[in-house]
Amino acid sequence: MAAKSPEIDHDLIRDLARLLGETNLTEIEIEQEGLRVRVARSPAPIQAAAYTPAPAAETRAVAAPSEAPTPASLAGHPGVVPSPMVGTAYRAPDPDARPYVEVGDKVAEGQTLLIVEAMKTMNQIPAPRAGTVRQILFQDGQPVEFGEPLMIVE
Amino acid sequence: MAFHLGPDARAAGFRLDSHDTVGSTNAEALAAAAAGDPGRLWVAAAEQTAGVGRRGRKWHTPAGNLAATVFTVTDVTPTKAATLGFVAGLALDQALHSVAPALPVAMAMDGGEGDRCVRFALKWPNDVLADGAKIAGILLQTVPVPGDRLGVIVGMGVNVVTAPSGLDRAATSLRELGCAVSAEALFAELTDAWVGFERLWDDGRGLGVVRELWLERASGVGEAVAVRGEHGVIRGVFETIDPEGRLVIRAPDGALLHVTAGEVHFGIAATAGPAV
Repeated sequence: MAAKSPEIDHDLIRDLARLLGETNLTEIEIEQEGLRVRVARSPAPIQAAAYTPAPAAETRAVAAPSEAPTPASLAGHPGVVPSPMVGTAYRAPDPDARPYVEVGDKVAEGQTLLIVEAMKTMNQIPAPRAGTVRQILFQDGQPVEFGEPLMIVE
Repeated sequence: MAFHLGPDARAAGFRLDSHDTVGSTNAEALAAAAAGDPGRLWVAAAEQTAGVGRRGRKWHTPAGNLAATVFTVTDVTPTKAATLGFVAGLALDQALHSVAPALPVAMAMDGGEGDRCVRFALKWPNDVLADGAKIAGILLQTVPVPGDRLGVIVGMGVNVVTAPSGLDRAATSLRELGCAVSAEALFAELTDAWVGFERLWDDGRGLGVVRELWLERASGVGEAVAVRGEHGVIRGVFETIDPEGRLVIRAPDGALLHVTAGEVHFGIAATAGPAV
């Protein structure tokens, strides 16, 4: 069972969670005096987990310091284009270029909609289906999570 | 100007699209991908008129330098495909060592009696340094190709005869280092080196070995590092790269930070105040 351990420093977890938000990292792990704390960001709200070497562990949610998450309801939208990876989303091939698409544009299946950069690799994200761009759910240069809804194309 | 594949690259079935001058070898490879090219294609040029770096930065390839892109088709995820950047770094490192096996470097401080060699090093995630100055850069792009497969475009630029000036960081060229090799000779070595390291990578299955080799040649391991991300600067010590290829930084408070993006600065630049 989850015994409350006096070693768990909740301020530390809050600090790490805040650092996670400020730095746009996906994961922070800290090890101090036999206590290991890993704070990771998932597509939904931020969660923090504290581990001790013993089996007893305590898990608690920490207030999400990130920007407002995309409404979860859109994740199940039939026209959603989710991000295939953690990265940075861009609307155009380079800062001076026109965006690949605007709201209202008709697109063909396979047409490039945006770029997600990860590990300095520019990944072209194609339209999964032909249709019309109904919504663009990210700002140019915005960090995005795996599975995060980026556009609605239907 | 005529580029040639190395013997190993030819034997492995690679093809070559050679240019004296081209807008961008990556753009040529993207066009080939869109036209249904099956992959294993090199595009090479001794001059680019519209070369690009990350996020639209110009990459200068004046005549005599090397711009080379390899287009490959794979079934791995884009995240795994990004680790081909490490394959490219290792291939460039081997090719540079082949053409510059023991470059003597004049020692500026004492009038030039030194005979030490240039030290090539790899900078996370995808630059090549010669004695700390940038000599080559790598730019990866992925694009879906028919059959639910992934096209990966790995662009490599090498300063063979000239290095750009006026940058915010040091750059050098093989000629400045005293090496009179041609872009063609370097390219042939690069294509052969790529065959070996891509085979080792093995669609990501060999990433563990690639990671070890990369770390052996990495710049700044154990040194101060600063990474400027979207929302600020992270400082700490460059600990390692993790199995996914992310930069691992140990922060002053002991936290291990796994970084996927950002501008990386080592050494003095990493400790010299907030404006990294």
